[in-house]
Amino acid sequence: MNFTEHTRAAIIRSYTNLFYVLAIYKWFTGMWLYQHDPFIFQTRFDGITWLFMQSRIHQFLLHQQGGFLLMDIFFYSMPLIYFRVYKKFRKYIGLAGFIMLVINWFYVQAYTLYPTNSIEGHVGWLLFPLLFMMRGLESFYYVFQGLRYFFLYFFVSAGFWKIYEGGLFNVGQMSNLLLYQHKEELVSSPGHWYTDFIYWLVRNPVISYILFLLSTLMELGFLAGFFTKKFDRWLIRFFLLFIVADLLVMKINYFEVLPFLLILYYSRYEFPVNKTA
Amino acid sequence: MFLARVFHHSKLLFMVMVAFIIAQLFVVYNHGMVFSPFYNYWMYASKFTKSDSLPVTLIYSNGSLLKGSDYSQQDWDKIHLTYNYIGAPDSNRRLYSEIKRLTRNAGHELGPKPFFMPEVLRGRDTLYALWKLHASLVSGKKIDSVVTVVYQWDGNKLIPR
Repeated sequence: MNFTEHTRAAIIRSYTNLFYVLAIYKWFTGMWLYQHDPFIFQTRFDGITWLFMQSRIHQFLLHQQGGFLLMDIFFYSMPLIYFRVYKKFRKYIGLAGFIMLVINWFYVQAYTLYPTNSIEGHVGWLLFPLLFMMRGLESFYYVFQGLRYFFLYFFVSAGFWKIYEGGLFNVGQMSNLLLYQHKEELVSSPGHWYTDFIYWLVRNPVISYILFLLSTLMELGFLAGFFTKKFDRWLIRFFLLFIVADLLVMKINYFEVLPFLLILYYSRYEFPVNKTA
Repeated sequence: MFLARVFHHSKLLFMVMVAFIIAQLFVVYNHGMVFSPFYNYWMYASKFTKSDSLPVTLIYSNGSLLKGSDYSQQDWDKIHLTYNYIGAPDSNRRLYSEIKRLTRNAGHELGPKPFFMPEVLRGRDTLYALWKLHASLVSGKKIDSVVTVVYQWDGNKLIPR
């Protein structure tokens, strides 16, 4: 199937819909910035974050409920504004994409300096505006494909590090991890079904190791995507399984990475080669 | 090949993509400092061994222990992870000495202020008071005390050491 303007419209529409479904979910679970009401920040070993910190926005915002809400309004309104610009004022989509890029970068950098949020999980919000900055359809297609390779790398590298750092060769890895991850909950909630479930996994290190091994193999399975798009539908299933399993077993929420799902879903659309020559 | 097609389409886009790949490879090779949006996705990749002593933070409201099963994953993180961050000002100060060294080597002097908590927030007691307010708001209960108890695995469950 050919990658046309209709495909681009479908991608932008799907991204906007997914963004607002996640926004509603995050509002109900208290994950908007103003709902966090952060009182503390912690820097990280990231050169670009240090540059951002020179703005001192992260300090200024502490205890400024109105400031947090303003940041939320900027961040959560951008996809709708972009979608409107794409529909009505298409020649300005490059500018709208650039504004989204600046807002997303400021928002994510600040949001992840406060507790409970890791910047790695928010990488989608940092990169997608680059796609939306592309005015020409062909450039849009190539950046779209570039993001696909990035997403494949995202998973493959996670598997690679587990081999390089040795975690994959440690049979007790998962049971030890589970104890560390859930220690407060295990001690505070004896007899609860979730505590019993985690204890059962800890007491059966071989079973929990098999889960760890399968998840690592799944991550490494994304390597296939570098050579063919034939398995992209399977990669979507793996991706969704990974998100659900991570939430259930580790209580880690990877919903912010969901926009990459669209990349795999629309990857079957190809820009005709003869037009590129 | 993908990059060849990009090259034929736009030299600029090709150069941006190659620069992106090189930057990511540098971060992997560097194995330490990162530069957004180039990270190392190595969460839980290193070997985890079973520890004989596991410090567990116990939070009390009116003498009753706060139970994880009573809260959503997000609220439980908001209560517990923020407590772990009380040490953040010290961590920021330690990291700043490394930031200063690296940026000075790169020929630029970064000011210290952006890396530290505002003056009014300094001090463990003040932050602890702020955390208690925050945790009370999230949990819907008045938090009165926090203790850290060392636990160990007895082969069946976690027990106080």
